[in-house]
Amino acid sequence: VPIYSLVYEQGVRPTEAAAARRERALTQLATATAPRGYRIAFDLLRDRAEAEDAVQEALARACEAADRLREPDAIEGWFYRVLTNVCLRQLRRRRVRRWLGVGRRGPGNALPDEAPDLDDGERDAPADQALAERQEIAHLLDQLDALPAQQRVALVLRYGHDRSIAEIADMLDVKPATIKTHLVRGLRRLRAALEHLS
Amino acid sequence: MKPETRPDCQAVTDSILSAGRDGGLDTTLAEHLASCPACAELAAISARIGGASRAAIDVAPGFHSRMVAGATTRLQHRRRQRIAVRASLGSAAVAAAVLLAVWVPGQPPARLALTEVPSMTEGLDGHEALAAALRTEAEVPAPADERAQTTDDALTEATEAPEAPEVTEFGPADAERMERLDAFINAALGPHMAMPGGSAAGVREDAAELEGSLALTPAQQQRIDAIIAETERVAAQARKALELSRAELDHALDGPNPNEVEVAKLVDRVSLHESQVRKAHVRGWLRARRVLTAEQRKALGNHRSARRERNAARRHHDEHDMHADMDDLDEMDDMDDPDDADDADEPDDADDADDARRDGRRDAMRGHREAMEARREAMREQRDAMHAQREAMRGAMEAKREAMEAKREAMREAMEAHREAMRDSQRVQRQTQREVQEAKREAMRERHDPEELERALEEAEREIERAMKDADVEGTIERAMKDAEREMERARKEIERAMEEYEQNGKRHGGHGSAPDVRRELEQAQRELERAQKEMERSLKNIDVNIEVEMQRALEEVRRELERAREEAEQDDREQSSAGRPAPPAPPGRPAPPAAAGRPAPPAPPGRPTPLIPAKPFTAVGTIKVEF
Repeated sequence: VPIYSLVYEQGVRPTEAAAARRERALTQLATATAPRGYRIAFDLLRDRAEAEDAVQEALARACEAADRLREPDAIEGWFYRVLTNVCLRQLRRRRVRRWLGVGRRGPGNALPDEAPDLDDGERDAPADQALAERQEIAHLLDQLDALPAQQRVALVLRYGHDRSIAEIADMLDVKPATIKTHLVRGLRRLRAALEHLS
Repeated sequence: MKPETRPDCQAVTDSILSAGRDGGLDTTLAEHLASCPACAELAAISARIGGASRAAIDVAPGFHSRMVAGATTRLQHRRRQRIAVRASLGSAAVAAAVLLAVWVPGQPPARLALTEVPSMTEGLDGHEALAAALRTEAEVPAPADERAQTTDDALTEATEAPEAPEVTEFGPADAERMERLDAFINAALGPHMAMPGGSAAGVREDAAELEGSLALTPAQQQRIDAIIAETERVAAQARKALELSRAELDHALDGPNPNEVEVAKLVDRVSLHESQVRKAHVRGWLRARRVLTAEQRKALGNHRSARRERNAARRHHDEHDMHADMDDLDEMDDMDDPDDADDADEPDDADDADDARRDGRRDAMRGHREAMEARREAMREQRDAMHAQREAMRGAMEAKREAMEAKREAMREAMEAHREAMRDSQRVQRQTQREVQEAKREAMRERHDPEELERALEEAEREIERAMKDADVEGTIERAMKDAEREMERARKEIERAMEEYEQNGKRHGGHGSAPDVRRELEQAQRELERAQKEMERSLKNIDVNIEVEMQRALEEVRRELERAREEAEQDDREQSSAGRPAPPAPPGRPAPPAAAGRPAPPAPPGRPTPLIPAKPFTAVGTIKVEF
């Protein structure tokens, strides 16, 4: 029910109508959109608690902006945009803390629990081969963690979540050419780092 | 040359950027990819990022509740922050307004107190208030430039007089002197003399003095009399209202705890009525002056200027006489000295009369000067004090009103936020309780029902049978067999017809139809027919085997899923019983299975029941292809 219908036709007070709209937006986002947002946040931050914090913050901000959106259907895109910005800020804070030496160390990408499950064919592979693949993924995540935040976000959203360049540009509020630049530079830096490791 | 600068490398990079993780390259770029290790490495990195992201974990149980509760808490926190910021800004604005209203540059704080400053009514009627004003003036001397603000001639004259002596204490002698001076002040500062223009009666008095030169006509005299009567009527009304206001002001000031706001209003009202009296007189004088002709106005102006000069000369003469009297007084003091008593002669009556007259004039002039100075100072002090007090009270009232408004607004917003917080917390609590109850029921059912596995297996088998029925495998096989038999029959007929044609042609051409090539073709057709039959039989056998294998695999998946769900429920139950928390937390360090297509779905959070059948239903579709 639109908010003007609640206010002008059903006689609901404006504050209660706004609260009802916020609650509806919160329920909708938390049910349908938050799990995907959580996966994106976890891919970017590699930490369960920080990912959930980022999703909660994005939910709160998106619900606050629900009254100001001209298109009610745009709240999902707005949520992803806020979530990406929150993750970006968190990555920058983490880098600053790491630079100052006051924060804890990285989230430990090489943990075996966080490594992916193997497919059916790979499940029958030898244990040392599975371990090698997990270590390779851990190295890749470490190098991703060392990238600048914008490049990391662009790479993860593009190749990890199969978002188009236009969508990523809309999320980060930059031009598509900038996203392409971030992708190319990020890929080359990753290649150089992995070659150096090998 | 660097690999990235080659056209093919650039094209491969663009293709990698635009294709995403699942996209492919065209043939030429694929060939280049095989030959260029740098480009191959780029493509491999993009694929590895995709693989690493596919390993992302699923949401933990209770995710929905945590997200809703956390977002609600953050919304409340933001709302409280906004209210606090607004309240702080409002308080700062109110404090600044109060400071601006109270602070008067260069004004001593003692003058702002209402009780320390006598009112205008007391200055005009009460001697003690006038003495208090004199005391205030003695304590805080006013600057000299403020003394030339009044327009009255008497006040101007008093301003030019020498400084008044300091009065430190008000005694009975001063009271007598003040009583004597009141009559003089009332006579000198009557309402019609307090303004520069005088009044309509002043015009008539001037006309009476200028009987010869002004020469008012009877009509002019009649009109002037009417104007005077009208002016006196209006002035009498204003004077009556003035007396009432003064009485109210006195009554308010005589009270034990006078209200400052009310006193300020009464003072304003007294000033208003005083100004109304003066305006009535001045307006009457102007109307009477308009009755005169131009020559009469000129003669009146000359007469007034001459009178002013005459008054000034008389005042100068009086001052001179006063100084002479002061000298005589000093001489008399010297004569009254006991040392010179022997030299004094017997005073005669004339000298006594002169001395008495001089003493009287001297005392009168001295008292007049002191009284004028005191009155002027008192009025100035009173005016300044009233102005400052009025401004201060206005500012204070404004600030108080703004503060009350801000406080009311803050309380309203706080109450609204509190109501909303209570509503949200109740909703989250209800939802959490519902989810916990659901999870408990699910866990109890799975844990205490030993035949759950068998029921699940039966349900899975029914699901598989339903899927097979939906896929219509037997119908497909039967249709394929019929098609194959038809094709075989048609091929057999073709062969037989070809054999007949061959035999007829051989008979027609005299027994030359058994050419080896034709016979070879026929034999080949026979062999293909036999091979087609064997292929069809093998395909049917493979379909049966594949269906059996798929069924076994699906049943195994269901069995594994049930075991995993049971373990999850037991673990959640243990954690709940040990921690006693309402919402089951996520299992620490345990990776949830990925949500890949074609694989069993992860265990759902407690709010939703665990699906016993895989999310993607089993489908068995057989394809049979027979080639001839």
